[in-house]
Amino acid sequence: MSISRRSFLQGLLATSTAALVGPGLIQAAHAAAGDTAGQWKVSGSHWGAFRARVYAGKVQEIKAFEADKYPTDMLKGIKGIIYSPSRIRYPMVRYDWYLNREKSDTTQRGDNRFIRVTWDEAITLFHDELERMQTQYGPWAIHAGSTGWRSTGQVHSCGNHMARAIAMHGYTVNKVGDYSTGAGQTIMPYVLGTTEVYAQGTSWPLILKNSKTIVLWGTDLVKNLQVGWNCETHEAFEYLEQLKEKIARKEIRVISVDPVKSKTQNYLNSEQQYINPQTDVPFMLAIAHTLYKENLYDKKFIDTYALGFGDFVPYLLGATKDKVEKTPEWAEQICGIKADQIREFARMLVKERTQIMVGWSIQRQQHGEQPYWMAAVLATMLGQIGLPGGGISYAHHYSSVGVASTGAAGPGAFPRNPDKPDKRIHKNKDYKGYSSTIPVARWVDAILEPGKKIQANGATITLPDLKMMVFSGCNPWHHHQDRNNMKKAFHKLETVVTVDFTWTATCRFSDIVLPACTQWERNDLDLYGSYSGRGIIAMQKLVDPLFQSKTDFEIFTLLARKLGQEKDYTQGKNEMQWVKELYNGCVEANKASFPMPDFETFWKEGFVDFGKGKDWTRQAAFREDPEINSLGTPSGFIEIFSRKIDRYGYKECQGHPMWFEKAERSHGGPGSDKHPIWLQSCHPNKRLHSQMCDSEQFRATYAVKGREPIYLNPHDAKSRGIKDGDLVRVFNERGQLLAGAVVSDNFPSGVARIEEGAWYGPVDEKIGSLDTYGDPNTLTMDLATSELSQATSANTCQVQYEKFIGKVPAVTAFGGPKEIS
Amino acid sequence: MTETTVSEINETRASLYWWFATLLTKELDKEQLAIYFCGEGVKLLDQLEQEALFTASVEKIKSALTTILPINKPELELAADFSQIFLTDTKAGAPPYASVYLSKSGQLFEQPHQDMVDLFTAQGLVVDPNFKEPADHIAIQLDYLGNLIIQDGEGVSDAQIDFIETNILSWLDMFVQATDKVKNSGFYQGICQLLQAYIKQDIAEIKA
Repeated sequence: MSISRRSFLQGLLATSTAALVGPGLIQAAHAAAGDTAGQWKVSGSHWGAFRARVYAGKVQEIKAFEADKYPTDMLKGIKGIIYSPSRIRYPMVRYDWYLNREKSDTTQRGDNRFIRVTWDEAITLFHDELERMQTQYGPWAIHAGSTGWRSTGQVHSCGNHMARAIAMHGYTVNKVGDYSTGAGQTIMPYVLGTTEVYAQGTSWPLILKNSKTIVLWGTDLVKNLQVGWNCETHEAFEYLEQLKEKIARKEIRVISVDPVKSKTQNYLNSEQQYINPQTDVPFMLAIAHTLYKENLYDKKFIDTYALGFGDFVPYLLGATKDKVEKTPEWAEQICGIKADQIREFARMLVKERTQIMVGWSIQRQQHGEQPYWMAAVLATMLGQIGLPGGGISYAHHYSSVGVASTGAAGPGAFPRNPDKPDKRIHKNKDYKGYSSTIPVARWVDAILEPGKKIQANGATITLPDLKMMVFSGCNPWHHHQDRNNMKKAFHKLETVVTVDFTWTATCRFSDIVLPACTQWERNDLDLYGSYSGRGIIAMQKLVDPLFQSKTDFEIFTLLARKLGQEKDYTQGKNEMQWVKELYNGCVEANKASFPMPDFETFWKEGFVDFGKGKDWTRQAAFREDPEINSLGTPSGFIEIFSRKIDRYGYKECQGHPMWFEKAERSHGGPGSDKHPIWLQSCHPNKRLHSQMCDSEQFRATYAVKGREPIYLNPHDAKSRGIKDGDLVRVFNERGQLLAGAVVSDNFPSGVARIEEGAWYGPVDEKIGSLDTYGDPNTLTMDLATSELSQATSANTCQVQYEKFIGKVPAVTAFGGPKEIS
Repeated sequence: MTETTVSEINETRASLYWWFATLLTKELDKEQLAIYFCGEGVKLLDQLEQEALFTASVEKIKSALTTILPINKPELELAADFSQIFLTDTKAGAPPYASVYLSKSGQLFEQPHQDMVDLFTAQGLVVDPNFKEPADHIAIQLDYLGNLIIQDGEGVSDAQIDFIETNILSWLDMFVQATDKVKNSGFYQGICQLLQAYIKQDIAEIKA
């Protein structure tokens, strides 16, 4: 070893580095190394249950739970979530906010300049902001009620933790409804008496046995049944397999009413009735017109079970204000289906037993209440509601609805509300005339136009002057519409706090970011099968929380400690005591009909199986006796005409279903001259909303040149010089994004698809900047469905696209080495 | 020139690696930063600057210090730089983990982490449980290297050379390049470039 040339080192000998060197990072190990193969543990997720081999403190491999016969491919993405380079590793605070608090330059939000703080400081800042809001403003200034699809698990359910801890401090603004079914869940209680969207449907064996025709109205079962609200069982896929066989044997006809050939249609090898986007109501009205004119409808059923048909018929016949008869010829001009074909379709519906299954897509558009209502009117005219394999459902694509319920009770949850007596620090309930609860999708309007009065479901809402938002396990920078409008709104907020495990765009636009661990770094339990109630699944902690992340339970316990209410918050129980308590509550609730093992046995085995449920027909009881088993509507009957809604006096949701032109529509509709392509942003095939988009390797299996795919019609693509695999710029007046072209015959001319949940990654924080990954909500319109629901209208969206030319910007939506160029 | 012993040289080498490890472990607080405005830190930088291979990176560090000096609470400004480079994600900066650069997946806790864990396990060592970081964090590697050097005492073992080449040099260039994409005061970019220059000179010397 030569030392002569290392004079600088000699010089350094004279320098004391003692003051410059910190403590070491390595120490002697105390315990001997464990086994070499690792240990198999069981856990659950929205994507299903699985077993994981954990070795050396790391999840090494994942395999589907043996009870799941149809596991989703998405299980491959789970490891990528845990070990994503996008993980939030430490509590972080936006730098300018840290320096200047509420006087910070909010136009910097989204520029990624943060500093790390200790948990203690982070919780103090969070608490101090809540305190400042309550004292300087009042409960109307804080919105801590926006929630999303969270992670599964009943003890750690993040929305509950946020709600309970913040309520122990004071009152805040809350929300009603959700982004998935806002219009549907609001209109259907008026029509059929329940939300319908979150309701068990007729069991598949009865449908397979009795239905001769199944109409899939804008629904894609094979795509959407991959995920569930609780731990998904995928039991419905067994029936879809049988359906496929029955179609092949020509025992059942399945027709998708859809502008695109869905994954389900391709899987089942079934038929399609093409329809122009957003024109379901004219098609339905013309079907009703045909049934009426040709005297094919079930008068007896309507007389016995429904109200208001007489008020509706004049509209059908053009005898009301609009003076337009809803003939098939009239509808053809709008929906693109030939008049004769419409008549044929109507006749087919009444010929034999017909089950109509409606998806959620057609209510996520402007006037989304109307197709839902009108579909119920059609089903009423067919007169098969309450018969096995007949009638209508709005949820057979969701969480294995249609798999019979066992009737067993699932586990409860960590309490969402503070316990009695009320000990909250700030008891002030004075909202200064603002509403304390707002429709879920109107919070951005509230920030931008505080004090504005809007109509919603029979009430007048005064939008509160929000100053602070708190999000936990919720990513509005994915699910809300119109990013550039959101940027403007966030300039007006004083403080934004987000709790999450991964750097979503919501985190990037926040001031305080708290690292939660993933659901696989904590102990929990969950219902196996949201609607089937198939069993209880243990969620055994696979690895300890990574970096400085903590469980939601710990995070909000720290906040409660700050309030001096830690014991009230936890009820003196730790994580495992809560898991055990929820399990034992479940044992007690089921003791008469479903004996369950003791907790220790359950935890060791990881699963309690309640078996299969008994087949059931939706609305059968109502059909049997509509007086005793009346519906939950105001009259107890099916309401073709709603006096209640009529009395609200709304313009865009009146006493009976109607056709309203959209703000934007393709195929000759408004705005299509300038932006001719309808952009649908349906639920993704390879994610759960935005969850798992950060899973790098799994994303690489579907991304195109590192971008979210845009599915294009071959003719439309060719006419713009675009080939499969090209980068495409998609734009309208609201924004612009880059996506990767997938050219496919599944998509008709004038239609394109970008699945929602693609992470937002703008070039920079400035308004109007190009989104580098392909979040469709960069382009969608933040428009309410109507005065009734005030729900999201994401599927009312026209765009134009072109081949991207020029210097390609790096994707900024994720961590990961590929994006550094 | 006075004769310098190998063990003295090794102690200095170890101290330098530990110095880099300290800088890359966490943000400097007010007192720690003050040492680089007037104190031992200034002396150290001045001496390093004299070595031709290090001049450019030391100048970068000094220029950054000059930039932040007039700012109110310069330690916070530097903490924001630290976060931007090392603590958010690869989009904003350069996570200091070998796995991000060496694994096909680009995920954390990949084989380079496991290699470090295995190395530690074989010697009865663990990462300080309070420092909740993967074992392939650059600071942990540099800390370990300092220990290896001290352990070697009078000489340079093959293990030391192998560790530098296999565990550190395999990803250091990619990491340093990634830090250079971030635009801020440039302090940590300078530190990383200095580390890069130093370790390359060091390995050349000990192998000579």
